[in-house]
Amino acid sequence: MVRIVIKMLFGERVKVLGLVFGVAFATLLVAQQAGLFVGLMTRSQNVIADAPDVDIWVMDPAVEYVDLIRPMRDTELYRVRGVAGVAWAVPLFKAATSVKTPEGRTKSALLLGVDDASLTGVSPRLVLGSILDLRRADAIAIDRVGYMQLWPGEPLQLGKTLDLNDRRAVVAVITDAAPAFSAQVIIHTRYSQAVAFVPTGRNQLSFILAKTASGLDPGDVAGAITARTGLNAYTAEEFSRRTIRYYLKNTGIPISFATTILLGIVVGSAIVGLTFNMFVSDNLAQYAMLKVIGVSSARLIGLVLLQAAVVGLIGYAIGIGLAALFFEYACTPTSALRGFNLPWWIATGVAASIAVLIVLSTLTGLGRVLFAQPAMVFWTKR
Amino acid sequence: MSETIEPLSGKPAISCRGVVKYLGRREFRTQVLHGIDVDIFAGDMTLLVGPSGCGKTTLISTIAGILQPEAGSVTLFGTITSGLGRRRLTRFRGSNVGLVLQQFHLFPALTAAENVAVPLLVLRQNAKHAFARASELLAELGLAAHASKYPHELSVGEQQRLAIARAIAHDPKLIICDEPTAALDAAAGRLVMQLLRQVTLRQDRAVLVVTHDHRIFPFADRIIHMDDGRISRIDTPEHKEAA
Repeated sequence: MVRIVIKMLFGERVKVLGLVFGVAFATLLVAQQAGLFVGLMTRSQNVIADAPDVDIWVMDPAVEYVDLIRPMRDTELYRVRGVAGVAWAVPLFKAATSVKTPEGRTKSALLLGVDDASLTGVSPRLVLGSILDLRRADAIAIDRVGYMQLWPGEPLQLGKTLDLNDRRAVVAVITDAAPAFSAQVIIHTRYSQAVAFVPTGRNQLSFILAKTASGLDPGDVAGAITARTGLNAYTAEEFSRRTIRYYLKNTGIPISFATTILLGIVVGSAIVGLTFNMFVSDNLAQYAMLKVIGVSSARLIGLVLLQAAVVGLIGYAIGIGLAALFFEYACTPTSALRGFNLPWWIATGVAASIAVLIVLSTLTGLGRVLFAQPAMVFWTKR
Repeated sequence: MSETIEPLSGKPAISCRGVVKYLGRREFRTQVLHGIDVDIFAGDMTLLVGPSGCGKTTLISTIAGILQPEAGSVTLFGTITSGLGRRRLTRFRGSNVGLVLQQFHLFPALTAAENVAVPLLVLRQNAKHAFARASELLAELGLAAHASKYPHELSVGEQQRLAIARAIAHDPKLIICDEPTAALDAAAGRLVMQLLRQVTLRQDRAVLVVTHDHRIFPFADRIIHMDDGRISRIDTPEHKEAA
């Protein structure tokens, strides 16, 4: 019987195409937008993600998220190091700037100055060169995608020079740094070098990165730092969450994405609902005939839901496949869209949403199937 | 699965007693059947005739268990179907009633063989058996070469034979045909009636044919005349009486 009802479904090719299109459209739009949204939110805390050894981030009390910089006095670093439970603490300089190649190509850049001694905070994923090369004069680490934007079509090569605020910078390392929210190029260099590249006045310390002594809870130590220094101190996870929350609360990004996702669901539901209703209307006499032949209403509802599920499954497979293709081919590790992907939990969430969409869209049609009078076979022509 | 069918032993296969049926709602509610009392016997081809709107279709729908009477009872092979709940009635209908409709109502997306197999698959019979039975019936009705064709690829006559094959596929005890010759000329109509007699009539099966077509009266064993929701008379054709 399953084979029969599926064949009956595919007998209406145009309507099946409409149904599949509706589901695929909704799936693609929701999955792609959700993936981009999550990717964007992940980008917002790229600096935190690229410092996996750091347990605690310390900052000026006015700082709400990682992209807001209010420099602290360098002496704050020593106060943090003096807090019980802090294994080590290092400075981080963070500034937005621009870089220019000798050929004149200019890009926006995120400049990160890391501790001269330990070099903590440099992306751990190196593509070319050694992290120790950053100790050389004027040395910088540049991310691979930034390099490709500055020197498009050229092979990755160390030793190239850049103009950074009228100062010479030499590419000593190429990294695979996590993509930033807005900057095109991500540059890591020593702290002492960074403050020379982008002077910011008397106070230069953007963040203090701290490690908790073994066996201690980072949350407790962060609390102790705040209590002792008056600075804000958060665990890396908490700071990530705060950064994401800031973007969610204070930018139009979530509304923009939510609107698109909602539109995808609404338009998809409308297409599926209307087409399914047409499908049911046109086949009402066939459903009535099945009732005449002995199919109970409950069984018929099950069979119609099976038809809807088949359409939903095909539409979902196409939609999620297209979304996966988008992320696979448009968001390669060397493209400007790197870092955007389709996590399994988004694919699962979209599947659940589509299942709800299918059930809701087919409800009115199901009602008509349920109340279709078998006697109508005597009065209808088809 | 199927309701138990009592042996007939001389009793009528179908018995309607005081069947009353209304159609429509509120101000459009109309009494269509006015206390119908009628018996239909197995082994017979019974014709139900009468002018349009006299209630023939409503009566066969009620007999087939598609509609439920407001009053009175319908007994099919010993089972009072008018007392069955909707689910049991659907099961009973699926097992015991075969319908050949004026518009055929074949499933357009299914091949001829699949159309015939549907009633068996609905009864949850093994697919292999269902398709074997379908092939057997298609051969019996001269449609063996068309088993894999779709209804729209068949002529009207072939579609009608296909509808008959589907109606008898599950070996029902009652076969109801609604205007089987309405769209046919005299010769084609005769052929259909011959075929119906040949493939449907059995001692344990009742065949009820609704018709306007006087030309097919000679094929009947009994003719029930209806008028204005009532049985006006029951005839036995002369050749049957002579026999």
